Amino acid sequence: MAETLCTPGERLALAAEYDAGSGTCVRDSFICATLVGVKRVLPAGEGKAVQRPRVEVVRSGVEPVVPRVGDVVTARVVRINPRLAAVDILCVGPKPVRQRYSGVIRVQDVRATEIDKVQIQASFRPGDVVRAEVLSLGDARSYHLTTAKNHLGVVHARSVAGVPMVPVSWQEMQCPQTKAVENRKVAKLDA
Amino acid sequence: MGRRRSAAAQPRQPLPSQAMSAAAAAAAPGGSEALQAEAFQRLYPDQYLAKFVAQGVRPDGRPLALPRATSIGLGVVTTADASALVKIGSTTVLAGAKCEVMPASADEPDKGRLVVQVEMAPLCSAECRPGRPSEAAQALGEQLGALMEGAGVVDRRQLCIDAGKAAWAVYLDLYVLDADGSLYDACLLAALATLASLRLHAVTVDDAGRIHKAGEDGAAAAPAAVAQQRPGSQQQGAAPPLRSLQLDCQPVSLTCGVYRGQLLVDPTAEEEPLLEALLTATVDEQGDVLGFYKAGGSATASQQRVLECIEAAKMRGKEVRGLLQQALEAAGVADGGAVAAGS
Amino acid sequence: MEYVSPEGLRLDGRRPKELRQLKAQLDVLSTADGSALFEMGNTKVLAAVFGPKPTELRSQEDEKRAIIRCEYAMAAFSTGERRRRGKSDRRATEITKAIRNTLEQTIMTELLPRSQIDIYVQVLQADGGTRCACINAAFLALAVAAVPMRDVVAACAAGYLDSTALLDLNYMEDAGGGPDVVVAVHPNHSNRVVLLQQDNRVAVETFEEVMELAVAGCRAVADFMRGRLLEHTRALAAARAAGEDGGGGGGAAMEGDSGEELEDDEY
Repeated sequence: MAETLCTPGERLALAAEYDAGSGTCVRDSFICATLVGVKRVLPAGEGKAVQRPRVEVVRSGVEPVVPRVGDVVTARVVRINPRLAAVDILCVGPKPVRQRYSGVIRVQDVRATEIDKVQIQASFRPGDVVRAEVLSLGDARSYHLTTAKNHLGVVHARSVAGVPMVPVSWQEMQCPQTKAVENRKVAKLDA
Repeated sequence: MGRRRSAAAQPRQPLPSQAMSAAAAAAAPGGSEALQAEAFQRLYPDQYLAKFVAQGVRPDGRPLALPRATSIGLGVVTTADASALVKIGSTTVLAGAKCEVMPASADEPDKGRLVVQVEMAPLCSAECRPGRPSEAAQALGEQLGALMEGAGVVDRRQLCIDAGKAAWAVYLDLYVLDADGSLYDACLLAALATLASLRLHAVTVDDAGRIHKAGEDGAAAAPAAVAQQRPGSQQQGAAPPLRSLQLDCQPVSLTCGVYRGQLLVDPTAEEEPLLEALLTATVDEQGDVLGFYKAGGSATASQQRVLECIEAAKMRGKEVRGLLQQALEAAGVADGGAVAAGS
Repeated sequence: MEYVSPEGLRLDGRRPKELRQLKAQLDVLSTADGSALFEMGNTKVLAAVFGPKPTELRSQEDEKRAIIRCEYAMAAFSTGERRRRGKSDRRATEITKAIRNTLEQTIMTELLPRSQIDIYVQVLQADGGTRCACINAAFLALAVAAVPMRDVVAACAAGYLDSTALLDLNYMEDAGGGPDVVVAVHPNHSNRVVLLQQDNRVAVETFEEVMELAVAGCRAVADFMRGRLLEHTRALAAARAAGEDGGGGGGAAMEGDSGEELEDDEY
């Protein structure tokens, strides 16, 4: 199937007959491309209230990976304070992100029970890799994340000795070398 | 966190599937989610590299002792008197030389100047910031300048035009356009290629301080200049003869990294931060060591490592000098080859 | 000095309305989100785009639109006389501003609030028409980086010497003392003018003639750039298809990789 490629500024369709999808904009009663890519026409909406077919321009190949509400992301803890843990989101599901996305796990979103007794430094430390879920797009700078589910939390952490630790319970991990136990909000992983 | 594409445009050795599956690991032990290779590399870069090295290869498919594909292009910038574009893998350095006549210095009346400057263009890496020259660029410039002087690459007496009166100042400007590891190696090679392909005009300076290219002013032209013009050659009016720069030696360097007891030759920018130590050895065609550099890192290097690195540099030197010779011949500026005016 | 011979040939053998040879290579740098090497005759410019990305300095952040940062530099060996570094160069600042303004009008900054796009332009070789080449190179780099833009933006210059309107002046012609009009347009929107710079006294009719010629030049440049972008996209798609066929199994992993998805393992 021959694909129609287009470049920015090209007129794709009449704005009166189509909706403008991603990669397009409306100008002078035309829908114009804003990217270099493949022109796609999606048929008139099924189920939703979309009445007209939609025109969009898809950049061939690389789909941008952006965290959405409800996505499970993998992130690395950058710094902590008593109110929150700041993280760098590295992957959405199995795919790495292309840009930097910041996230925060606030103290009330660390776990589901005994929220008022949560201590951030007993849950996360800088350098830990955590699995979290996107709660909301948050404020301008960071996504709001939660680890308040059993399968969310720390998936990889190094002990004070610098050795990757082994989970002992949902709030403890142990260093295999020194046998010291450290507190974390540990993710429960399925067998 | 600049993304670095895995070189869709570059020829790449096919990854041994063993190594790939050896590199496979989930984000969480026993986790049901599989991670893509790049995701794993982001999260656990050290483990990612370790898995490959354990199999004797690198993430880009190279054996541990293999440097990346290297290319040299000469004469790429016609506004410069000589230029070279060097690529080692993705690392790209563009060098250009411009010659200016200057009054001879009182301290060294029979020598000219060679000024080497390195600039890391803000385009070269996501971490680079425009503005003041970065520490890395200044260090590179300093190291290169010191090597040129210390190893005596160019005898500056050949830059003299008229002892005590005038001499050539050769300005060698290097621009790092893409920084992907082994910057010193690429800069040195670009500098070497540029100097090897540089041609100096034969000039004279009259008493009033005006510069004359030999051949323009009949009275000032030395008889030697006339003898250089071959009979029947196409000289359109003032076509000054050119002489090439004599290089007393051809230094070539190689950067190696030490990682988990192994020597990794020519590390990329992704590998560099994971290495325990970074060693750079510079050797000449006789196998003499012209320079060595090891600074910092998390580990000290044993003497054996240092010698290994020097041996690797010697082999690399042979390979690279061959490439340079090919490039010079292709551009028609090899020693003894026909010298076309203005080429 | 004669700029146009009696036979109607310019110093470099071109006809008055002839553009210099255009060349472009896309995606040439490994860390930039988009990059391009653009040549107009002997003028060679390398452009790189980093972004869109979150704003680095909170103080500069704009909550309604993306901020554009632009840097322009000329290699020391890019001109006839070596350029010394370090002097505060007013010309460079002015050119940077012209490039940035032109691109700000082209990029749909309102679609990317609170983010930043860095554009770096490095002139490797200068032979007239430098700022036009910079704008064109930057446009290509932005397109490769998939920054949303209203239109293609193409720039070209024209002048008037020996009573003839001349398109795409080289350095010698630029220095000839005649009027020099630089234009950048959005070709898909009735060639609306985005940038127009002119210095030197000139009669209105001559100005109109020269400007029309420059705009025609812009259209030709735009066609060329459009063609290169489409070629590049097709080549990428073909390479990807070849990579996926050869890989077998798994979904898309890294570009150009064999496409295997990693399995769980002990580590």
